[in-house]
Amino acid sequence: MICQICKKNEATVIIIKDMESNRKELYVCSHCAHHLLGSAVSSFSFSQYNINEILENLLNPVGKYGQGKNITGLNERLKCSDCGMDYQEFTQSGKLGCRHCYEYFRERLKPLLDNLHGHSKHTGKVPLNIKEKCNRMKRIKEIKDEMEESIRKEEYEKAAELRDMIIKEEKRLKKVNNE
Amino acid sequence: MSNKEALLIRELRDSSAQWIKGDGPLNHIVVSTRIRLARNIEGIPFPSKANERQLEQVLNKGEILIKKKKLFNDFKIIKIDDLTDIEVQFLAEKRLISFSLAQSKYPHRAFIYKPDETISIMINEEDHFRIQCLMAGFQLEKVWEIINCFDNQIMNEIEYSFNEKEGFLTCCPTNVGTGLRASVMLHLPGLSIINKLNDLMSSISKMGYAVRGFYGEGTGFQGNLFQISNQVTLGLSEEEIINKLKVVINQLIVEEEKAREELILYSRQRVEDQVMRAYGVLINARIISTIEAIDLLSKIRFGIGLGIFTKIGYDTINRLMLIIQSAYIQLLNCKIMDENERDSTRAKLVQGLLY
Repeated sequence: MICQICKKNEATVIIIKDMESNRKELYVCSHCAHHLLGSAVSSFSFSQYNINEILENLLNPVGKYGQGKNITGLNERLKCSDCGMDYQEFTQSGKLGCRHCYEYFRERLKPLLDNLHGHSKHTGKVPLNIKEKCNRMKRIKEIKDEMEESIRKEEYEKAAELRDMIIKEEKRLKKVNNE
Repeated sequence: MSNKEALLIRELRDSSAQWIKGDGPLNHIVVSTRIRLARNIEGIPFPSKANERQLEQVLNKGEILIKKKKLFNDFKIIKIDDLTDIEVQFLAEKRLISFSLAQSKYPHRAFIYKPDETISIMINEEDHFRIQCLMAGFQLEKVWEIINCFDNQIMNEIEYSFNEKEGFLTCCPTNVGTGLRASVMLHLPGLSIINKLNDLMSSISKMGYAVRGFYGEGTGFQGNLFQISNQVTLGLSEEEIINKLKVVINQLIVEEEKAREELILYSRQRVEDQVMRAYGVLINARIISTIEAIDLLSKIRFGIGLGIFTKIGYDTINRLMLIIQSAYIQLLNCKIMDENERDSTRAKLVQGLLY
């Protein structure tokens, strides 16, 4: 049998992924097997790698940015319904189409972002309007906690004052949201 | 081309950017510091998926911005579509726009710039806006302070694509998060002579920093000039990114200084010989290629840094490094030239400034 990767050499290695009824086999030559396993293993810590994870990586299409983890993704056409960007297209070009691609492809992008940046969560600068929104929401939560505490202590006058403050803060928040 | 664009290109051809003065901190080793921010406008797809009307909308937003006199006093705008190929290449050679903007096929590309060329915005490059601040010498904090303030002011006018998980959203995930790429241009002839450059550059690459040549991505390493930049843009704050890069650059500066001291101590005559030979060739050559000129100018720059060569300063070297390039030469001479003609004109140009 000819190697399914290079389509030149004789296949001497069979890579089998067997998860319950979902059995996949890949017939490869020793050169391609070494190349594939080498690159797959290098993305894990050798002492604790999981053979299933490696095989999933191997058997999934790996494009420029392809980091597919899910074998069913092989035939799945994941698409951003806002700009029409196809995940396959992204793996070829490395370019996303719009802000919504980050939401549609989030699950697949996460390992890629971890790989590229070592992180997948932003910790830098936040635009002022978003920062203000967060601060206002935090403030409202604090006043609400304080109001509940006052009610528990039966300090109803104080609780009423706090309730008025919450109404005021919520109006401000609404204004920030509308800006 | 419109008269307005022709005039602006002529002005840019004859003017010198602030960084060319070469007077910033640690200018004997650091040529310039640059930070760029990748930003996209909320509600418009990234250029990769935007249609012509949407790209025009992005350009219009840029045009409206520069009418805000308080923020954009004296800023100019040049539309790339209105320029000839040579003029576009010239802008890239002058480090005003990226080669990627110059070569892209998107319509409604433009760039907005401050006449001293410290701040500029590329419009409809890979992202809607690429804001850049470029200054002489090693001054990451100062450049960050300027660009951050500028970015905040734009945010008062324009809503950017942002979410709390991935931060500022960019077309390519390699830029997402802060959208910040800081790069420092270093001149490292000492380390090159003592053969330590390759090891150092490969360890810097392994640490997650990109190493590029003077003329940017895809161009080779010429004249012992290297641009070192961060690759991580997500999960660190802007200040953390800058501080980490600063540590790496400081280490390189220390190593280069050590190499230079060693060379002066043990091989002064040999170094002097190299510098003066370079000068000899530059002022006598009748034809000279860009690569040879850069290599020789790099030796002269080294001579200036060591106090061996005092005839000219960094400003002249920096200007020469730019004007010897192909499109720049042709613009200066107001005509299209073939390679032979460029090589002989280049030799005269260098001599005009070195004598």
